[in-house]
Amino acid sequence: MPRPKPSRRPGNQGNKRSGKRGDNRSRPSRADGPLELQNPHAALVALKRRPQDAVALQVSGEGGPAWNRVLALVQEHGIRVEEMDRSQRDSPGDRGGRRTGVALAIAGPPASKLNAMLAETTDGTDGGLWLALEQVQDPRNLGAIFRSAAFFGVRGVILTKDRSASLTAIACDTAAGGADAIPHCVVTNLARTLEVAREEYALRVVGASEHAEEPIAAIGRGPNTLLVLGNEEKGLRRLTRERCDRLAAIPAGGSGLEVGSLNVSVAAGVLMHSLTQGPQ
Amino acid sequence: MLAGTRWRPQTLLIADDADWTRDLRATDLAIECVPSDRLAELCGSREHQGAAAQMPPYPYLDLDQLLAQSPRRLVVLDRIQYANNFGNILRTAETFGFDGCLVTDRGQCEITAAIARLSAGAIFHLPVAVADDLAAAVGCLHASGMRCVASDLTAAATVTKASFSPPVAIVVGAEHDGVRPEVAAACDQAVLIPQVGRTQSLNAASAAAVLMYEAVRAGDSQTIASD
Repeated sequence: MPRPKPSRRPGNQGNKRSGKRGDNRSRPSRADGPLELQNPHAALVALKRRPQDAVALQVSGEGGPAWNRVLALVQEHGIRVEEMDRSQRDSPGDRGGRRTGVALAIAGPPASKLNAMLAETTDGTDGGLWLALEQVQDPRNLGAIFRSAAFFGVRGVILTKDRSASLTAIACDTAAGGADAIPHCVVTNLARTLEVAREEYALRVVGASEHAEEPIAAIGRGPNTLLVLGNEEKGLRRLTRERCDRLAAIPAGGSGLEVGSLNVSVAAGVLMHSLTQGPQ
Repeated sequence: MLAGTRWRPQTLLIADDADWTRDLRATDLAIECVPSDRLAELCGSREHQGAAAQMPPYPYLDLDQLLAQSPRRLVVLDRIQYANNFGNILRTAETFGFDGCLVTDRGQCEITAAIARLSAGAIFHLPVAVADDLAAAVGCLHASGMRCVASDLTAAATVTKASFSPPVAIVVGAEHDGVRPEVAAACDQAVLIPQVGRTQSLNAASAAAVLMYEAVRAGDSQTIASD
């Protein structure tokens, strides 16, 4: 667990801001205090979108040229710069081996509520894509999915609360800005959520299952679609599969198949590609 | 996992308290029993399930050996640096039934125990060849009749409109600067994956997967058409 650094500026820790905006934005992914973003691309997107959430820029060495735009924004917004020595930043085991010379301490991306997110992102046009991730557990997979999702123009991501990775610093860094580019919400009951998405927002619910008979290419673009992806090991749960309008697989093609399945973030990328660029 | 692979362990280390490994003792591999604690130390983790393999350096093929296998689909990597990406690309290639991978010997992530894990074991099934001059090697693939398609963010053609009829080689470049110009110049075509969103580029492993997926689809439709 990354341990948040104590802030010397009270009242600006992101997780205390929930009442201020008066809306529905304070949810679990934000409850752990500021994240230390070590990927300048992630830091830049976060800072552009929510400069008010930044706590400090922590500098303990060379950051490289990619940090220059972040530094410019830090100065523009008057965000505190903390000089730290490396031992202070990189306590053993704290960061899972990640270490760079510069990090942005900023509150995690704010979660929306399901209805607010879907209402804001369904604008009457067709061809939109949303994601729901059921118990994706590896923060790097979660981050990689957000990165691809940003590339493929996904409008919103639904995460499950239990046994699921949340948008930690590692996830946000891996997403390279994607976690801030796309709204997300966290739900406890995915089966019910899929019903809401279908009935109230007219989304077509497509579940990814390697056992499905229908290839993803046969699904095609068209109506607004919610793509549901399952856990790394177990895939979608039965109850979730039953709530999908269609189940689709990525045809593996050749005859190798000793390994037999794709990494969930890789599979997500291929499915999003097929749903946004495949035949209609 | 290790059965039938070219990359064979030097020694199989088995924890003295592991019981499931008993049937391994009939193999022709050199086997050494070690205390469980020693195994944990070697693996850097207690989650070793009672066995570890001491591996020699990975036995890369050279280009001629790879071509001698008449590959229908290859993935060519121009300096993939991150183990996560390399492992994922190998796993994807194996899952999609690709016949091998070609890498260059400089700036490319090495094949290590981490790659074995990150590739979900694909490294034991997918032959990997190495070439010091990747542009020349891609030229050889082309000369042998393979169509070489490079992933390039600035390409004019999109991936869905490109031809991936086998034999085909997918060429993917480094995380930061993509396929080098001299390697791209040796390819038949460069393609891009159209971006729908406003932000960012695609991770190298995801981009490689989309191209490999299209290559497999192209093979499928060809099979269906020829039936």
